[in-house]
Amino acid sequence: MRGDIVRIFFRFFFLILLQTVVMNNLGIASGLIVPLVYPLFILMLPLLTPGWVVLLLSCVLGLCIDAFSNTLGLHASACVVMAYFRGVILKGISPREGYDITQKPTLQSMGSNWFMTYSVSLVLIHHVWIFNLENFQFDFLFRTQFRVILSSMFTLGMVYLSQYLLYQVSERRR
Amino acid sequence: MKNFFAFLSKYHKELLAIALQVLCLTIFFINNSFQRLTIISSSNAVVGSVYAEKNDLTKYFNLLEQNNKLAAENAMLRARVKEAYFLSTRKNFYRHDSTQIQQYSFYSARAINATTNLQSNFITLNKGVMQGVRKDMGVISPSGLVGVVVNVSNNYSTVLPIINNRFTASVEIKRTKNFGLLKWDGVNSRYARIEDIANHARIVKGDTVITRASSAIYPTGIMVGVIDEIEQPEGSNYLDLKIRLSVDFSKISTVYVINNLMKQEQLQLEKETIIEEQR
Repeated sequence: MRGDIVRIFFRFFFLILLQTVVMNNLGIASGLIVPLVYPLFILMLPLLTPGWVVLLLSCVLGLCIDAFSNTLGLHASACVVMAYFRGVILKGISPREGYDITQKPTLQSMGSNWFMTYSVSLVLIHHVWIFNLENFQFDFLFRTQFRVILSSMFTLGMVYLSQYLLYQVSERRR
Repeated sequence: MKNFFAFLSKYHKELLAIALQVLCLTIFFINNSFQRLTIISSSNAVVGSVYAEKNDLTKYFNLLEQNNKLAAENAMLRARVKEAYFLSTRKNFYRHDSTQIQQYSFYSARAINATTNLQSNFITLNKGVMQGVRKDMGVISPSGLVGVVVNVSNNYSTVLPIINNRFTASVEIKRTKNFGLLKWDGVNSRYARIEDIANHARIVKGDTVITRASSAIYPTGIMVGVIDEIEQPEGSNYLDLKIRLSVDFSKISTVYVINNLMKQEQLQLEKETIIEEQR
């Protein structure tokens, strides 16, 4: 449990640095793709984390990202939405007997179907919210949805990459 | 009350989510409408130090861009130094005296281009309409008469000098007061001729030639040159005078443009007189 908390905090700071120092400086396809990796933190929180903890942590994470990006409230708002729907979706796709304390919200632990539903829906919710809030007008509406889709594909690519790079190794060790 | 707590415990996630969302959206819209909230932005000390470290790492990546920017800035600054500027102030010197009315004022100008080896030579001055120069103003140099302004643009003007075969001016011999017409024969830029001086005038070599105020262009007494040769053609009532011009047009630089403040008055009066004579 203590190891989990340390790992979560490490992941928190690592993702903030990765997002703000590296990803925020990448302009891919002239702004069509905005690389966002920090939603991985919310995805990777332990399955049995209380809902209010998830909400508060997500809000703080979003505010940290905002502080670096000078977009105060934007990422935080999207993170809160994502954190709320994380609880809803986890309930919706839970196995019949509920989640086990040993299970983790990873590709290897929960299987590809579960993980795909979980990650794709949450990343899409996050991205739809953040891009439309950022745009916040009916001009460029089509372009904004295009950005949502392309950026979600990028983020999901990063999420799956992290699954193969980080968690597969630990699974094998076990 | 019991129901209220039951409600709270049942919907605590939703309530927390709504509260946080309201908070986030509030600061988002406040931040968008007004100045940035500086409490949590990149001016913050922690954020600032992280960015300083990052800048140390990344500053080498955009050296080329920085160089280009600096070069552009240098060009901009170069355009601001004194040498790049055109002096556009009106240097117009007046004297105030209630017993005298000023008739002429002078603008200093520089001859930035001059030809001397053509039949129709011109001089270009670096003053124009913006500096007060107008068409038909006289132009003199410290050593004597130069010519008359024939064309003006905003910041430049062209001068028809004595050494142009279209140039004429009324001049007089300073000692004897005889007057004649100054013309250039197109031979030598150092010499010109004076026509229409009757052959009874007692002119000697070395007499000074000065301008007259008859055309309302020049003041009286501007040096033109000195008599160099006196010829008396057979059967003519007029002398043929060759004068050495006091201005060396191949070395001309600083000149003064003469503004005759009473020109309109003089021309108007002369015009009215002619009209009355014709009646």
